[in-house]
Amino acid sequence: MHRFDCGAVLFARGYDINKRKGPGHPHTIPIFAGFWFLGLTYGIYMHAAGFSFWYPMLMSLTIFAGSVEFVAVNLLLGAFNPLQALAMAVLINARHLFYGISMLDRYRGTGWKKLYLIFGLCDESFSINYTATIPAGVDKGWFYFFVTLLNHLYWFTGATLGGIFGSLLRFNTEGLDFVMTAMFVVIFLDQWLKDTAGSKQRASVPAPETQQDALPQPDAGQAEGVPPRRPRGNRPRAARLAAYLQPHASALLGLGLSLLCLLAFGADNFLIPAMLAILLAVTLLRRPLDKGGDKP
Amino acid sequence: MTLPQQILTIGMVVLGTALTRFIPFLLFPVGKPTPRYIQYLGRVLPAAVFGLLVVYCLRSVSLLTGTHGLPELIAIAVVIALHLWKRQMLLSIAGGTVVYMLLVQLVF
Repeated sequence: MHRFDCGAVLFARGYDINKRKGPGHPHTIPIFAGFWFLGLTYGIYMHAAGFSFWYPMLMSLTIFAGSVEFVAVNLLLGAFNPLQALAMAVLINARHLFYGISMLDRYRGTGWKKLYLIFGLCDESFSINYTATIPAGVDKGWFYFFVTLLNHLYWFTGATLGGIFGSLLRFNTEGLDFVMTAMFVVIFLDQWLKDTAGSKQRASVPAPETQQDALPQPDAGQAEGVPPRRPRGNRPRAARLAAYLQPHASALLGLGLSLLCLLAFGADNFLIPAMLAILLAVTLLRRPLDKGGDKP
Repeated sequence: MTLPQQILTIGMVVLGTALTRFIPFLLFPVGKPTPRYIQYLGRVLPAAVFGLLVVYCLRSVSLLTGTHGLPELIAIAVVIALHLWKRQMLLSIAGGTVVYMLLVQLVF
């Protein structure tokens, strides 16, 4: 994601971004709009749930992780269960672990700023700082710092204003809570499309084993006399379906195991069993799931 | 929930979030390869967790009573259609939410 680079560079150099936002920098507008849209909605959402603006204000400041803040509203409305809150925060944010691993080198030698950089390592900070090319003459520590700070400010101001002005809204907010569902459906769909694209990319690399690996039970297939390297078009429908679903196995496990746990444990208690079931399943299924997943 | 309980809950979320961000910098020194199991989890966990979160959002929907989950189903279909069409995250979220609000306020 490069759309934020220009703004951050100008900011790091002390320019006024707004004066420089000519046709050359149209891309700083959507990201600002994005933070404000979600931040404002979050604030209004918290207001509609019965919380004063102090909650979105302090939570956006201290947590600074959009998705888990939406979930935290629900945790606050449910029964007191601090352990579940901790587990939920760790699991929802588990992806940050991998952002951190990717940023180990980049954030080295940034001095005192490093603490803040790590604290503010949200999706947006990561995607911008990971992909940004630091221009010559700009200190990388300050560059990263201002990207993180701007993200933090956008989110914080959006959430706080949403919390304050939520009370002024005259329209019926019933159903606004669906914004959280919609957000996660979009994130889930994005991940699904990414997995599809990733598997297609791998399939286009000539690797004779790949197709055979995609079959669910190659041994059973061979026992029935199916040649292991049949051309793609002749493969049985079940095998093609399996090959299509293989890159989505993790997504499907997440949906399926969560649904099972929801049925078994009920809406109030299914989260922790579901998280454990997912962790156990991906650990046990590591061999089949890890195939072809290695990044070069 | 009392105020101290709320503060503790939010504190736990802050702690959990910060843990996920700080642990790599504490555990994996620069220059040493990350354990393969951790790398593997990094590849497969996000998709599963997003699936869990979708189910979590819909945990209170009852298929047998009330509206039978129809407003949710329709709105999710709108979100998916909008997103496959335009791939604009905010448009998909806003569009689906507006449709859902109209459905629960005016139709169901």
